[in-house]
Amino acid sequence: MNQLAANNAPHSSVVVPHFIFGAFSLIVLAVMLVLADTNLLEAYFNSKLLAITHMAVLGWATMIVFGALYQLIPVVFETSLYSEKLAKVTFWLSAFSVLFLTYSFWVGAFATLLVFASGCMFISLFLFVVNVLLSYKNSKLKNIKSKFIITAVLWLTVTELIGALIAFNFRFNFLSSVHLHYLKIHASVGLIGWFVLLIIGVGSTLIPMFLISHQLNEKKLTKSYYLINTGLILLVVNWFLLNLEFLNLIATPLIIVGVIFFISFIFDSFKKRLRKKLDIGMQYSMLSMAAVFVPFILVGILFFGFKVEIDLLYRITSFYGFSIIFGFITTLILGQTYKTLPFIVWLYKYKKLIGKVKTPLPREMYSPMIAKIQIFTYFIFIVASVIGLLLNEILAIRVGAYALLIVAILYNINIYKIILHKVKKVEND
Amino acid sequence: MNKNKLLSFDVRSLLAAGTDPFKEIMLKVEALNDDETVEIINTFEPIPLINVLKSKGFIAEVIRKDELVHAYFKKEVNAEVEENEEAITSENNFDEVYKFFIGKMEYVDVRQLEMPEPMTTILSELEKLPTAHSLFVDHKKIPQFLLPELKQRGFEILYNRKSENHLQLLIYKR
Repeated sequence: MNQLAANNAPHSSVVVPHFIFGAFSLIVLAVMLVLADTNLLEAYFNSKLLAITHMAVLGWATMIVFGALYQLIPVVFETSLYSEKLAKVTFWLSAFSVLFLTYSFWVGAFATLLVFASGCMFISLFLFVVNVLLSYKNSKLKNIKSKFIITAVLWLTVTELIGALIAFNFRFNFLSSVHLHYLKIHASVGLIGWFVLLIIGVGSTLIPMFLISHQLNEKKLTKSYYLINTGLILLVVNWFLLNLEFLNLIATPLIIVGVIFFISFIFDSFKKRLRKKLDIGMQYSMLSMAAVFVPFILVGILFFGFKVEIDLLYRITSFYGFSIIFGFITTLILGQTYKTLPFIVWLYKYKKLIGKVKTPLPREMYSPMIAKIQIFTYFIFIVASVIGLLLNEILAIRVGAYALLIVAILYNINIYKIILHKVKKVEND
Repeated sequence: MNKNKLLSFDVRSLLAAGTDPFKEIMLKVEALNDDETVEIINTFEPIPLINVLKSKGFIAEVIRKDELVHAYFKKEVNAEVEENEEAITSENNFDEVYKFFIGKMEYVDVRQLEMPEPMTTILSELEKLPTAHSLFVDHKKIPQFLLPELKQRGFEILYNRKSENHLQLLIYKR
């Protein structure tokens, strides 16, 4: 039968709170950068930087990713989300856990609070993973894009396991190696396994859809999938069990080539696009795709360990994390919010009216002027932070932190403009 | 396309008189010999007709001249291959319902539109849809966010997957 299941789309009350919390986290994150001040130039594993990193990846990026993914499951899996109720519970538990975890890091309560905080975080992320996996089980459409998403979700579980392991070790001291070694695995699996794979899965669906490009070569995505995963499994196995230097030198290029296959897929889509003019959301998104080359260069420097001083090496490591979290992930999220959130809210508010009266377009629900100033300020943040990190210049770091605060406030204004939008009926011609 | 033996048929006068030329066209087309070509002259592109005839093993060509559309149809020599493919892609009642609506069908292609225009276009087309007619849509994918609203408004929807990026939808009132 070719009847279609009609109610795959999640209710907006499942999706929208994630955007609100994500936007709120971006403000908290910016305030933390302002407060951390000189700590930002210290070694990357100081408690303030750990707090900031977790706020960025969990409170900001992961929260918005959760919301967006709930909305996208019907599109990529062609099935409904397994449980909306579970998604709502997951939201509240994650929101609490992120704040708890970030606080524990910030005050340096490694041996006391951190164990409980990471336990809560683990449970909340695990509930998300269960919900997505059970949705996938009902899915009839198994293609490369959904494979990316499911694999990303599995890597998220691994990331969390290692994270909780490190946290518990602070209290019970059962691991043999130094925790920095595990921190490296935790961060790499989180950034590459969870974020990069997820972004490829979602990005290869959304970006060609927004650019309106047809007939793309999906074999590039398949190659990308196997290269990145082989590389990452090699890295993790090597770090946990073997510790052979040359294996890193094989695994890392595999991952880089894999990501380049994805970028090349996006570039094809960009070249074949029917919609020539890029709107603000797509400008951000394309910028993010270009920014992915920065960490490639940095990882080379870190690996071949050019004889740089240890202080500079620490700051390059921070820069490496910065380039992925802000250059790539945050830029993409800032852009895609302007594409997805207006649509989600518009659909909810106008679905009864579409076709009957003339309705405003989703892109008319936020201020393009604010979005423009926001993208400009965001540039200042990136440039100032890069200068600060590389040249050990605290003034530049401060300029960057305040710039991000402005970005966060502008972003929040637009988010609320969208969410609080009042239904307008435009007169029919 | 080789158009040696051309049978020309201008349907504008029929349409102006309010008659649907579909039956007459089908009679002419079915009587075609392998080496003959039929030419349909009209003011718009007869997409449903093209779809039907392609599925029956004809090849089609459309040429626009001076505001007019000339559509040419000819029997395809190795038509059996085509029919086999057809049998694989449509294992449903899409075809039956499609045939039922022939002559009572509006058409829209939303594959080139940006979000959310596919949805707004389809819904406003449906608002204008004459009673007992259906809307035939060329789409890229299953419109997940449109479906609940279609059910809400009392429409039935069938689909026919042509390829991973091409889906035909048939929407009609229950």
